[in-house]
Amino acid sequence: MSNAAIAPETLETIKALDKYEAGFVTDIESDFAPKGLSEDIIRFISAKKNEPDWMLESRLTAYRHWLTLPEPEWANVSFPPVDYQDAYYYAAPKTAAAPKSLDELDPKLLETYKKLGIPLREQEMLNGIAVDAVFDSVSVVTTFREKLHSAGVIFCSISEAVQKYPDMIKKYMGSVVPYTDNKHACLNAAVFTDGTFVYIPEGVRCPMELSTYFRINEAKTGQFERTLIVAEKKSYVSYLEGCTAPKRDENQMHAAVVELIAMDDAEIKYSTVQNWYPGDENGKGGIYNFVTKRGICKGARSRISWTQVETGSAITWKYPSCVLLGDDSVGEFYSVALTNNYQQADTGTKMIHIGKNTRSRIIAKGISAGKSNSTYRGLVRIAQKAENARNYTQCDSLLIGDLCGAHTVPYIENKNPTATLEHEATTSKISDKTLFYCRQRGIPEEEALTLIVNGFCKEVLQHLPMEFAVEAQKLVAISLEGSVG
Amino acid sequence: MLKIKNLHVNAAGRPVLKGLSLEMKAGEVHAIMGPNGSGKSTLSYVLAGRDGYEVTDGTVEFMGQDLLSMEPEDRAALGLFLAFQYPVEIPGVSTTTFLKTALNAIRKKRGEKELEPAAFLKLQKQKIQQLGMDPEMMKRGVNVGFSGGEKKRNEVLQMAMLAPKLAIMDETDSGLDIDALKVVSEGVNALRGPETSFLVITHYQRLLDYIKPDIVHVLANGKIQKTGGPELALLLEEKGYADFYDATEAA
Amino acid sequence: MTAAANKESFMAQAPQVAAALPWLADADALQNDKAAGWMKALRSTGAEAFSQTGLPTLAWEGWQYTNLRALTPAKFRYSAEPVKFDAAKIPSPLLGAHRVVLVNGQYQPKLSSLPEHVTVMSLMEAADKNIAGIEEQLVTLGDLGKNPMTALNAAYLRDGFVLVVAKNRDVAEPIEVVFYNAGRDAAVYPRVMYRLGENAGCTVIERHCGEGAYFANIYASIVLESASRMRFYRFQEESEAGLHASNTVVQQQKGSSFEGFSLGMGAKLARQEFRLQLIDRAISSSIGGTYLMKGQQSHDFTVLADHFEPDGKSVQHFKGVVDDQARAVYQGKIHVRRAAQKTDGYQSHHALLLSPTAEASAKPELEIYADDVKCSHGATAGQLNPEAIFYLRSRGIPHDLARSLMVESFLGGAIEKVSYEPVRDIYFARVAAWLAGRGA
Repeated sequence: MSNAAIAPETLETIKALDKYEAGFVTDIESDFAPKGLSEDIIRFISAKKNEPDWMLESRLTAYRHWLTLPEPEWANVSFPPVDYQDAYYYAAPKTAAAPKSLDELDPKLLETYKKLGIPLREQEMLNGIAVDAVFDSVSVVTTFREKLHSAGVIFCSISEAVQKYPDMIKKYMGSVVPYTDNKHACLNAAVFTDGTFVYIPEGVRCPMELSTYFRINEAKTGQFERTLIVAEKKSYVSYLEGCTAPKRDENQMHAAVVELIAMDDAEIKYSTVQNWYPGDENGKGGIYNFVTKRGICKGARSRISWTQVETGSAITWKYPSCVLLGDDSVGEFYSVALTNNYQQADTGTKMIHIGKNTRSRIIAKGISAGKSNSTYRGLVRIAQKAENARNYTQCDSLLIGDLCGAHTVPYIENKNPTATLEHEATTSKISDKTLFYCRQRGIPEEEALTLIVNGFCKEVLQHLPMEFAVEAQKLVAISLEGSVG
Repeated sequence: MLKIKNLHVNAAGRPVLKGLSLEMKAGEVHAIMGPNGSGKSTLSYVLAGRDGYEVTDGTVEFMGQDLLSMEPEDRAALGLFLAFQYPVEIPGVSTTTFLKTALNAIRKKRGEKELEPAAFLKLQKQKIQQLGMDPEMMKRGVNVGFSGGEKKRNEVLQMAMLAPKLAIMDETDSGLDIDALKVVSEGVNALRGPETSFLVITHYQRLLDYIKPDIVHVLANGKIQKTGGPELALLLEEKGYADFYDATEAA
Repeated sequence: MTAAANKESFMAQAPQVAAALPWLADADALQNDKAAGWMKALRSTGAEAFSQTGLPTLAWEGWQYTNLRALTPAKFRYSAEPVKFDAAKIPSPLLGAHRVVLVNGQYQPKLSSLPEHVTVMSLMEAADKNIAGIEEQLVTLGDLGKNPMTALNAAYLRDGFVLVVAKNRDVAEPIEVVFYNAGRDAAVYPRVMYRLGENAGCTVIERHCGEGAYFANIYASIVLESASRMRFYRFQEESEAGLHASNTVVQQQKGSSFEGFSLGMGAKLARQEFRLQLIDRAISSSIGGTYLMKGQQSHDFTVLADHFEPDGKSVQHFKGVVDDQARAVYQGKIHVRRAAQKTDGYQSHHALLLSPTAEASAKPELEIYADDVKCSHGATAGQLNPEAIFYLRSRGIPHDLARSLMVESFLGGAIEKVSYEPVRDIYFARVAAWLAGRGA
């Protein structure tokens, strides 16, 4: 695994950079919905997208329910009440009202993604990763469509899917995360603007990695995207997700919903590197990342694996979960959550075992530095019929400095005597002795810290596709800056 | 190359070194022998710059520079290497990654170019072979799950890779069986040369059968009590440290 | 905490708040007694807090696993009148002769006897004389909005006792405290306090028992002054129809040590909460327990080890078995505050399910704000190893006996931590009797 090492040149590059390298704003003219949230705004969004009536109705139903829901209060995060009327729910570059071919795309957008390290021109891309680029409220381009199409894979924006594949959208959207699930998911169901739809037909192994790159650009704009992935019998797909936003003093909301559906023998691997703007060193600004992600292993022997590296956002509230319905299905959750300065992260998973012989594995690594707080919150539930279900959970926390907090809140529920559940957790700090050992070998303190923290996270990072693993290690280094000395 | 003058050090508020003086020239091998609690480990940690030790008096000059004012990583870059008595485990960081990071950090500080990955691996492979180590171990976390002997061998490997001017061996023989001791000693002897000095700290004469010192010092009660040739070590083996306790108490 | 209905847990939407008022029906009448002004004020505060929350529901964080359905509708009534009872029904002592007896929470001096250097008096008498800093202790109850059981206990503040061990005295013989409940749908709200002077030592055995249907809501404070040592052993053997809710708060001062253990095997529904407060340096605190649940029983151990200052050590060891349709819960938390460097905290919970309809839930939680600490936990749940059972049977041991042996050795891992041998033996005997009664 020596390739998982951070190249020294990487560390060099990082030092030369501003701490949050994605913090720039693209100067582009945008179309906005009027500020605020109302039935009229929802009608506006729906009309902008030329949606069929059933979609509008479904949005309005969700909105009316949303009005009745309280804010979730149980998470270990605190922030002033969100003023839902003081935000834009739709913002789109004027030149990209609908996804176009690359040749027609505004060069400013191409430039933006290039600057973020996401070249959209297919010939420039490394290792052929197909990208759906979502800019504020709209998908601006989706690459490699033809190549995927010939394999039978559908990879398009969710707006396009509503138009082209209404039956599938009606059948699957909201089937894993219903609008009644929680306040943030409900808001998303009402105002979602774009996102990605993936469909892998029976027996198809998706020929390339699929990815969505989310970018918030406009001020006071929330991003509410939806991702839906359906993997038919014996299919396989690996999907990556990345996110960034400009530096701003005010907080911006990102409330996404991701739904995964795996049929018999299907496998979905979903990886996230979340690098939303975390706010400055005084806790000003940053993204509120309130995300509901859930997959259902519907078929026998199906498998869903979540891997996440959470280094960004002022507040992270996120529990990628697996409902293990099919017999012998497998759910996995690998997570690194790193907080610094005033960041708050409350993240974890839920593994709901329903089918027989279902297995789940949870590896969570939390790192807290500065004045931040990081909480692992996870549920393992064994239903009465889940014969021989197995879970293994390991949560490790690392504290850097004495002004931060690291917390572990596991919920373990067992209703079947044949189930086996194991849970382990530790909290520790980097010992002076370890740091001294590295420095004695000539490694400067900050670099030693990064090295040790990346070692601490290795079990999780090695589940990421290679390009993402390198990116994640860079992010860990950047996020730790200023936490020693 | 190394000049220690009248070094006084407190650890946890109590004096441990009480006026230690020592001088070493390039290419020499010195042994410091002493009973438990005489200040042997304190000396090695103070030279390497570990926190928690208060220098109350004295000076240390290394390669013409004031060693005590430097950060640990700068001392390493200047050519000081400490082989730990209890090497630290670092989970998830492979020995290869660790060594590459260290070597390049040192090279950079010295104004040298970083080694290309291929050149690094070639060098590492060569040193591993010399020490008769299992290449698989390089992929595991630094010292994680290593036996006592493997840890010490890993220290010698790091020493060979970083090619220091002065290597301090802190009780390298503790916990080693004869076979491991031989391998470690051979590794050290292979590094001996006109530019490389060794400060071998030990309780027992045994190690000195394999690493022949030029000069032997006896450390007791925070001071060098006697300095002599290799024959001094044999004398100690025979008579023990009792004489030196008496000498210090009388003084 | 005004509107519990607005809460939403990590798992579920919030249902409506339960009706609070019937529970307070007898609280007004109580205020006509001769209690001191501050006691009456405390009752009002408790009643006010409870009226705003009612009983906790499944939507409350910390109450997801214990359903208080059995407490509704609120048929249990409180009475301040001296309770009538048959003294012959009070169980005979387990060990030694020293005991304190409460019937429906009311202290019975005639049935009590105490060793030297130990003073006991009823709560009302102690309050009149204001001994052992009782006013300060009684009014320190924490956030009542988050602890409705404590609020309800405070609303009926009257019964119970105060026990004081003089400083520098090591009381060798154990003191048994019997909480006997005479049934008849009584609601009982004893408030008890144990205070050990500097460098004092004692062993307390609490027995909770009774007959018929009743609701016992107990609040116990334990104050351990510097360098004092306490062993605290509880037997929760309430009647089959009884309901038990206890809060035990252990306030530990510098250099003190606490060893607690509780057996939960009685009651239809029970929740035992322990809060260990390590408010100074160099404190050692350990709490263990085991539960044996069958039929429709439900048991909940909720434990908080709260480290305020450096160099503290806390240990939680819980193990239990659940049979039939019974339920068991363990919620443990280690809270390490900013100043509490060098804390050593450990918690473990292991559950055995003996039937396909039994349930066990656990929430072992860490909340840590200091960086130089060592905290960890382990939790498992599962069944008896079928291979081990088969192995025993192949050596000629009958199936039921094999199961019993396995359960005993499993629970033994927790009970072995009890350092006082005579009580440890009784715990083992209780487990054996329970298993014999199961025919398993």
